[in-house]
Amino acid sequence: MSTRIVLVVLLLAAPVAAQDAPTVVVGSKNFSESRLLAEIFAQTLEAGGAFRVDRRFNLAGTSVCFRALRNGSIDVYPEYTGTGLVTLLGEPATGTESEVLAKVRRIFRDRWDLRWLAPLGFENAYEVAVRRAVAEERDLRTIADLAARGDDLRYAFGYEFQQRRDGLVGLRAVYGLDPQRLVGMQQTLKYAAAGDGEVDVIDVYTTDGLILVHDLLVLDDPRAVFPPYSAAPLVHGPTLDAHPRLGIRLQRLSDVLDEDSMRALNRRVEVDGEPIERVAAEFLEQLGVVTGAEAAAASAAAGDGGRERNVFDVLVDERGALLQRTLEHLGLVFGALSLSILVAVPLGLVLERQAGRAETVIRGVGILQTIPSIALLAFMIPLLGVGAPPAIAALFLYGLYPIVRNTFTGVRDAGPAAAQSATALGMTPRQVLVHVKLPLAVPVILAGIRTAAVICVGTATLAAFIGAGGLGEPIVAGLQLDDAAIILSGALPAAVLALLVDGLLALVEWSLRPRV
Amino acid sequence: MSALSCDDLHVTYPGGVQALRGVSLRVSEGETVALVGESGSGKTTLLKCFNRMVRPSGGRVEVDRTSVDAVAVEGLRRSIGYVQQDGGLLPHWSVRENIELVPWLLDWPRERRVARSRELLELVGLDPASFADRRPSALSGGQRQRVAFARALAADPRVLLLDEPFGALDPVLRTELQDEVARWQRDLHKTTLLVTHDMAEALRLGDRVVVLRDGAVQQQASAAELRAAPANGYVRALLRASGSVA
Repeated sequence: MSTRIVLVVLLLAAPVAAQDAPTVVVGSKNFSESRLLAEIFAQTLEAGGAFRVDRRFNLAGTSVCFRALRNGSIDVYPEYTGTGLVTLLGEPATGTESEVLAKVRRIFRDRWDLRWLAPLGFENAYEVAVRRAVAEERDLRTIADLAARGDDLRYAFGYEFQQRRDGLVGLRAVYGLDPQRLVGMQQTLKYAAAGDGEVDVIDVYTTDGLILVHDLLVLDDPRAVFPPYSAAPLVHGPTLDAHPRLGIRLQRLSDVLDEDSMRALNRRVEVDGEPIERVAAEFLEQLGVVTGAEAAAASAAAGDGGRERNVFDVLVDERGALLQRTLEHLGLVFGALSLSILVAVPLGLVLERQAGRAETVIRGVGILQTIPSIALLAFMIPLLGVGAPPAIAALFLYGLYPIVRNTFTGVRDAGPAAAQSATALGMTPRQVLVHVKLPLAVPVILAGIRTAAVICVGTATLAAFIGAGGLGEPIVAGLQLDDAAIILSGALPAAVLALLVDGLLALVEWSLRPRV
Repeated sequence: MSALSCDDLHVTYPGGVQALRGVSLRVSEGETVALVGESGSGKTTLLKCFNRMVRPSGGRVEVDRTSVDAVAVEGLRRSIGYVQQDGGLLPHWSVRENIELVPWLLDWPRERRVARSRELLELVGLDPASFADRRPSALSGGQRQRVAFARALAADPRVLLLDEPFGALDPVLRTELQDEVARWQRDLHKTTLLVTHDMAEALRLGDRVVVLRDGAVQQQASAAELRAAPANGYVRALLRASGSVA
């Protein structure tokens, strides 16, 4: 009898314990190795129900991840020691692998209370690669050769690489490399462009699976512009103090991957198009970190990541996820647009009463419009972290201008004769506004809201860069995989959504339009 | 007893244009005074001083022997009927709602408002059953001005300010509406200030005519006196242009 009670209690307690498991937020940068490592972290933490994981993948680059980690918006993400040294600390790219690790460990801990856990075992350095045919024709083996005989080649470098001291900045300073024809390009697109012979020289990562596919020659770096880049989990200090088990868990990933095995895993994702969940799960199962059942569950959740799918296959296969993304997208648009309307319409009305100041204020709001979306999103992270709040805040700011401009102009120019006679017959300014000008300005105000809404639906695709989800997720993922079907599976619903939102607001406008 | 008066009125608009330069005027209870002059003469500015749509830079304006500055501006305006050239009807309100504007501002009970608008539609010659629920866009120009008159009369004001009320109408319609307004005036005896650029209209409707030029009064006199003895060449030219004298 008592045994049975204990069993029942245990059965009841088990799911409760899982629910009580602390939640950690795992982030990643927006390239596939970073996402794959982050997924490996996530499944390692989830194994046995120890932690619940909130995934914030595809954050836009090093600085976004780093800022999100500093303010605790994410708890852990995969980072490279060399990037920590050169990009985040601004130190010169010198030292051995262990010296670099020791240095970033000490300074990150003292300065920001961020902890580098044990490296995963492989190095993934920036490198410069040249199409093999070109390299043989010009006899290029090192970056020094390239600087001497290759300035006139066609270069495609990542945007981040162009700005980094352990990137083009360092190559210019150390080797005197001076590309004459340089374009900025997203990581996987560079490989495709090199494969097609459209460009000759690109920046690559040591462990990229695509180097093999596109027959590229990696040049030596005799003067060590590129520091050692050991991959390791970088953790928010207070989280580690609160949950020491997080450190113990991730420590199991210490030294489990070398360059070859990492390149092989990357290749499965980038070339074979397998879902990162399955690749991560199978790797961790071999390692004994997760059970076979857990691995099977993770793989099953990922679905079939076969490569040869057209956009309609993707739309059908991923309809559940896409519905989820669409709802997230609508949530972002609805939240941001509501705030924009709540602020911009009253602001336009106030300005109409203060015509002297109006143009200055409206131009000021217009300047917000000129801030590039990615930059605005990045500015929001120190204030609001990652996820939906900063995305909504940025989209809200973009929505202000068309609405405030149309509200101000619409009310100012609405029914001048009617407004004058209403005033002359004794309406207060407030009554004139509420009963005459505002109703007559409704079509113009709603035109502004429609403009803002369509812009918002489009811009919200960029929210994926700061982990806010939405239809930008498949677009970003598709860009990384160089898979047009996946890109379109986000872009097409976004376009349809823009049309639907515009049509819906047209109906609202029609129903609110003053009957004259 | 003057229902409207002003003394030594000066109005200077931002930018320094002097619209009125020392105008004095008295309008007796029940009298209709026509302000006539070319555009830019200051006649509309003078009219708008009486409902405080324009603030003078100097001088004194009284309505019913009380300074217009001594009362709340909305109260003053609600007690004065006003018609402007294009009618100024609220396009999104029905004819009935437009007529009931001032009674609504004065919080009249609904039944009283409805009865009043019906009565006024009949007065201005529009069938309430057919017109009350139309929008202004469904009316002809002449019908719109009739509604504007009905609206001005709605709360039974003692004073009417008419700013070119026939200005936008074609000649036949204008004459017809002028005749009707003259008839209403005989019945209602409102103290009225009428602004017009048309000397013939001024002579026809005004008990007295005030000729303005460049913000100053050229002559004020009854129609007969004005015809008989124009004060100067400008008045004579206006009379001649309107065909009112040989």
